[in-house]
Amino acid sequence: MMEVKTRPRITDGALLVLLAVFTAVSPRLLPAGAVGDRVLVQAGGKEWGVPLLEDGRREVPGPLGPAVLVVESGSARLQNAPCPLKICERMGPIRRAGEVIVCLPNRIVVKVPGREVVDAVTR
Amino acid sequence: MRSPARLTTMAMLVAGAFALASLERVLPNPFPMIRLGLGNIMTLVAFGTLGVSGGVWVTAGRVGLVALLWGGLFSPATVLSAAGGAASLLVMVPLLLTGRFSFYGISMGGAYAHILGQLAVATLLYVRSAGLMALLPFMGAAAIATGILNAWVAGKLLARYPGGSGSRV
Repeated sequence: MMEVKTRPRITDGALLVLLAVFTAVSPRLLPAGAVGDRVLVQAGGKEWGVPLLEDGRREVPGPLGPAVLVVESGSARLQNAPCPLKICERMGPIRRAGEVIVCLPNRIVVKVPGREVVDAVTR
Repeated sequence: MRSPARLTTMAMLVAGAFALASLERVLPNPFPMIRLGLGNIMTLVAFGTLGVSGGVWVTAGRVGLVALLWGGLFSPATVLSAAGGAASLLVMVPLLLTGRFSFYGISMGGAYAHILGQLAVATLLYVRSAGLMALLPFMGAAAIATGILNAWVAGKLLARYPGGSGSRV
């Protein structure tokens, strides 16, 4: 026969510390998405791939005018965007699976395909 | 050992757990990811009054009744609820059997296992993206807090139970 204690014991405190530490470090245990080798660009009703392995600058059409997709040392970003707020320029550079650049005014989506590990990363 | 007293106590605790779990569903909740897990109070009281099997039955009864009334038997909500209940028992029963933890440790461990079980099943069955695990810091902190709260309430309840606090296991 044993009894269940209702008052906290030292072991409860130890468990509390353990759980608290695990909770605090849990974000670091998440694996980062694999580095992608290309991005998918959706713009002007079409979708095409752009390799990330070679540097380059390409025009991406949009209703407001063309933006420039810059590929540089394995990551992609938008530049010279004609949209008013330039949010898309600040969403890059992207390189890991699941990362995405969206320009709503100019209807452009650039994303790294592959198994995404995190839904979204706020910057 | 199926004495009428034991059966009655268990029925009361299952009913109480069901009522608390239902109450929690009806109350407005500003944080949908965070639940109080009040039903677990009755599981703790069952551990204290009826022993290990009592707690297991009260949890199973609660999950079953909630599924019947609120969820639909094989809906995602029910699957997640059962996953959480099973995970919490898998942690609470061993913690209880060591005899080294009070309600507080058992309750915290159970609450934490509950969210881990739910996140794991939700990730594997429904979302298929580890992104859900990004919720762990928030849900984990909440589980620790609600675990302590529930242990406190369960302790108060057990102290008023005929036979007093610290009943046999």
